[in-house]
Amino acid sequence: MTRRGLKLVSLLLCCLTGCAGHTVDLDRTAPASSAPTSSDPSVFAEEGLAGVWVDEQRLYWLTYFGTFQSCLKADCEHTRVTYAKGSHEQAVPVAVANGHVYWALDLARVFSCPAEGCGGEPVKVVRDPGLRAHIYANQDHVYWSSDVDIYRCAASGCGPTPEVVVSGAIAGQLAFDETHAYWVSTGGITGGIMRARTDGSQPPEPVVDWEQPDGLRSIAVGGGYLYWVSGAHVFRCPTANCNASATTLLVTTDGAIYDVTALMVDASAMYWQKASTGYTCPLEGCEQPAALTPSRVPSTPLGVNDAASFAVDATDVYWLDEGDRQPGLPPLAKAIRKTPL
Amino acid sequence: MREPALTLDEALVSTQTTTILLALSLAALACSANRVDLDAPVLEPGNEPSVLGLVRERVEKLAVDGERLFWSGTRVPRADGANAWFLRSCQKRDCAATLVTYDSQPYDAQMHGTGEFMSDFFAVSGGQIYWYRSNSDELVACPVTGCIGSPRKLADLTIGGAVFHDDRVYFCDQGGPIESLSVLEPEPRQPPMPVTNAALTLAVQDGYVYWLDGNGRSILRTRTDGAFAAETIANDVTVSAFHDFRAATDATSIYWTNNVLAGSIRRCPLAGCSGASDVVIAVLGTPQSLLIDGSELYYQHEAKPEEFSLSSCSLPDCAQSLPLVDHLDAPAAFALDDQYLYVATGEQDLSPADIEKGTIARIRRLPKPHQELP
Repeated sequence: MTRRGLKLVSLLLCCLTGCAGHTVDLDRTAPASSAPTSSDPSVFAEEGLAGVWVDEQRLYWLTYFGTFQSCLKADCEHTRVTYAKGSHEQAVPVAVANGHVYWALDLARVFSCPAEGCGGEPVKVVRDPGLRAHIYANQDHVYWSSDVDIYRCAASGCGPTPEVVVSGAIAGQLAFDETHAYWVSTGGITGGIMRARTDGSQPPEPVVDWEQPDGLRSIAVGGGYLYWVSGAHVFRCPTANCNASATTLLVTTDGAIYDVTALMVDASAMYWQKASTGYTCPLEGCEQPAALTPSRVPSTPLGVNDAASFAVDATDVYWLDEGDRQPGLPPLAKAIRKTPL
Repeated sequence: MREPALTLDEALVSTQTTTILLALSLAALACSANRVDLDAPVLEPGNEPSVLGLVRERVEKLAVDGERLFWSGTRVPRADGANAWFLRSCQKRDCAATLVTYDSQPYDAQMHGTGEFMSDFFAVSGGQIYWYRSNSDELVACPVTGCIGSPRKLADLTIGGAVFHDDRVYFCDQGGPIESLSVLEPEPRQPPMPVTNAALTLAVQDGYVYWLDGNGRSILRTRTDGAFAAETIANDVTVSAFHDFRAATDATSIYWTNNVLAGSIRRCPLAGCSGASDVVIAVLGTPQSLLIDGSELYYQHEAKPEEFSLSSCSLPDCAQSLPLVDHLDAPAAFALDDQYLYVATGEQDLSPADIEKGTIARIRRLPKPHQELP
């Protein structure tokens, strides 16, 4: 989506909802037809929720208007922290990792803050007008694809120049393991999935050559494997020798996963979203994906970063509930609900 | 017919003609959507010996000739809600009292810095100032002492990038061929040079015109008379579309700014590199502008995020040094004459909040480094 497209979407949403957050009457939400249900407890409620993230301690969320907040999972009501306030005309890319949060304003200026808050004085990490709508966090760095290179900076700030992860490459999406950054190549270097050391100390190398007509939709890395979505299928290969190994087809869904927001993996399972439902399947022996959320999560994050409509920790799934969809209106979540895994 | 904006500025510094000219200019202001708010004084005397004047606008580009200092500036937002671009000059010896405004145009601030805004093209030669009006796609001129009536229209053009050399303008539209035009006397439009996909005309040197190819990775050249096919000079150029890209030549080489965040300054011999380009300065924050003065290379870069700095080094080795000037108002807000370095500095950073405030630039005259003053 272009910058102007993002801006138009944001403005459209502002027009539709009045550019303000409102607590909604959760009693009006209709029951879902299958478990989990919309009667699951609401952790947080606000109009226009666009994405949710979770780590061991905190729950993070973003609204379409650019309000970026978090709270402690154990006591969300009394521990809310605001990193960025709303009313932005453009999408606000955000990322969370390792006790730091990052966000970008005007699709150019990246800020960071400790997860517990920074009193309204975030670190100005970098200004890059070429930032391509997404930022990613890994360990203590924020990564992004500029219009020519892939860069990273420490949470504490960039200095005169960012660190170059890869020169002359444009990333459609980035994922990480302990040592490498992986990206879907969209230009500059041959197509497929590439990788380079996160500190840029070695030239990039191709990991997967993928000339399939369905293309590449989303990638994830975990447990020594690289995962990707193509059409209705999820594949993987070992990161150590992916190009030399046969790729493994893990699951085929009933129809192409064209609207996967972000394929996620953890130690034992993978997660993805198709249409308005979040799904999961074990990494080993996936035979039938299981619904992880009711069909009430926003189906399209409208280009807001790689914002996922649900997030999973060790015990629970947190999901955005769009309530009863209004005909003719885009999906807008009004609450974050929590369901035990 | 457009009234010349400079008459108002002259009125502000000339008590004898103030009343008449002010009335004329205000009448023109009321009749034209393109007129700008000139109510506030634009230029004030400096409060430090090195400051020639305080300008109430952002200085985008500076140039000098023997007598005068020229600049293009922007004011965001204008009093009536629009943004304005200005072209002005003053005499070096008494800048604040000798302001001349040649032109003022509304412009789209969102286009600025994206390569789509070309109104910072102006050049001075033979007592005339030439500039491109991107709003009306015209090349126009005035005497440097001030326009008498409307600026003189030289041609209707569409320019994506242009350089001025020996009283000719060499220009191209985005992705088009390269053409040239004499500014001294009317002549039939010359046929375009046998060049395709030129993105930005960069320099003219020793009978060749150099340009950035539309692929964003190559610099090429051809004879200005179009006699030969294009030659590739460098093919490892790195260009961000979100920053200015400039080049300069000396007797042996062409130098350019790899204008990305972790950028560099590179060079090739005028006839081209046989392999990779030569790294003049490695790892430089977003260099966007450079000038060569004898054996000195002056280059702008971002020493800190959102802060333009100016440094210099001696060619050919070009050891990197600390900045000469910080808080440069814009990447091209510096110029050189035989004795001095002229810069425009501002205290504001590049954040949208500051850009939207009224800005004040200080035009400074500094001794050149490595040069004994008389």
